[in-house]
Amino acid sequence: MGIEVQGLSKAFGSTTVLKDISFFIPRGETTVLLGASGAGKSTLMRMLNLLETPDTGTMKIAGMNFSFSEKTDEKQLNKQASSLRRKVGMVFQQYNLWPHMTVLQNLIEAPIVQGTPKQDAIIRAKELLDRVGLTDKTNAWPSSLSGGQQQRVAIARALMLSPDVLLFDEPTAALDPAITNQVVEVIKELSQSGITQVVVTHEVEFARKIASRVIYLENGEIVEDGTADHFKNPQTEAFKAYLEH
Amino acid sequence: MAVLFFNATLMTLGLALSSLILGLILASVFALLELGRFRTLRYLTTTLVMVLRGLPEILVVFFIYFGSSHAIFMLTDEYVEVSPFTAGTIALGLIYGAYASQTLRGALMAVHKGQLESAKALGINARRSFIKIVLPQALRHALPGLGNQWLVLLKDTALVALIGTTELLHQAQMLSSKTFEPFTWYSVAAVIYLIITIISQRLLNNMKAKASQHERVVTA
Repeated sequence: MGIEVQGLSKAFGSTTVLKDISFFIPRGETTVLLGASGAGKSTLMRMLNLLETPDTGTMKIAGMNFSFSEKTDEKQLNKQASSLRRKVGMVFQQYNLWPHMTVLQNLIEAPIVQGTPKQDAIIRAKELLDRVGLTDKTNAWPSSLSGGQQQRVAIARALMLSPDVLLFDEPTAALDPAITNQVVEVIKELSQSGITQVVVTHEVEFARKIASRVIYLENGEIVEDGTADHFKNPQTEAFKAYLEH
Repeated sequence: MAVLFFNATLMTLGLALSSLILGLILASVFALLELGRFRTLRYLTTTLVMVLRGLPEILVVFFIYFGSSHAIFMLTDEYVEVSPFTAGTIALGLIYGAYASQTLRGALMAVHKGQLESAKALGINARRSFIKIVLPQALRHALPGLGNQWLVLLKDTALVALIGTTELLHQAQMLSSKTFEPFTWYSVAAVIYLIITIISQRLLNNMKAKASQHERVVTA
């Protein structure tokens, strides 16, 4: 049960941002979506948890099937979207922690809404904070944490619902290079656990460190798609040029 | 004399607080309608807010007090007297609501949209995210503005003296003309207004400090 996407397209007004995208990501892989800004990689990833709705195409993810067309029923889709989002976690570039809640409150909010008893949620939160190395920050306010620490809290928060898939939208773009390694460590550690990860980035070095697969996009189309070997042996001139720039 | 001023102070505070409560409710309704997705309601609200902000406060007070009795008379042929207190509360509540709705609207828009997006990505529904995530942050942005408008409201209660409520200003006026000691009585009223203002500011500062506790970085 991986992620399978067939013929996804999306246009905003008259601008086509994604053209007939198809790919398959096996379970447990860490796939990097690479490309220059404007290539459509963020939009593509946001479709995987339906923060964007594709115009056409089909998608199989986390055991759920979706097919999109002009006739897609919005209400029905919204319902499915919330159950999908419990299985597909997401980590944002700007962390988007809730500043008026402590680290612990940030973590337990979503599970509590879904009916997990508070005590159980707290136990799980403490385990995850231990896993990302932030045990001593349990009761801290997000604003008292460094960028790298905030991003690790955001990752722990996304893991609270035990998702099958974890999406990262430019997770290191707001971090300085030394801190990026903290995020690299966490992503590598997670890939051992069998979770499927999809990471959007434009930083080649970061991509090399974490990827087991890579998808390279240009102008809304997939140019190259394969295992991490493609970093050493790019198959297209375009990807080769991007790696060298 | 002390009893008279005590009662007048209670009247001023009663007017101000009931207008504040009504005003905050109206402000929330106006702000949500203006940000909402129903176009007709959006335009109607914007127009109402524009009218309320465009008229002199005293005109609104007169309009509600004299106008409402007249309107009820025209509609039902019955003469219903609206008490000055009720009319004053409605008028001041409408005025406060109109101004405060703009403060609230700005505060709601100032909450970064990523805040809602991360809640959405965690499967938290729109209502819960609004109450738990957007509102607390918006209130913090809105507090200074709302506090400011509260001080304006407090002094606007003096306008209700003109429709015959015995609040602070009216009391001072009556005693002055009776005793021919205007300096004394207007000074007493002034001091009481200032005391209420100072206490309000204290309370507001405490609320602001509480609302931004998470902004104080604690270094271990």
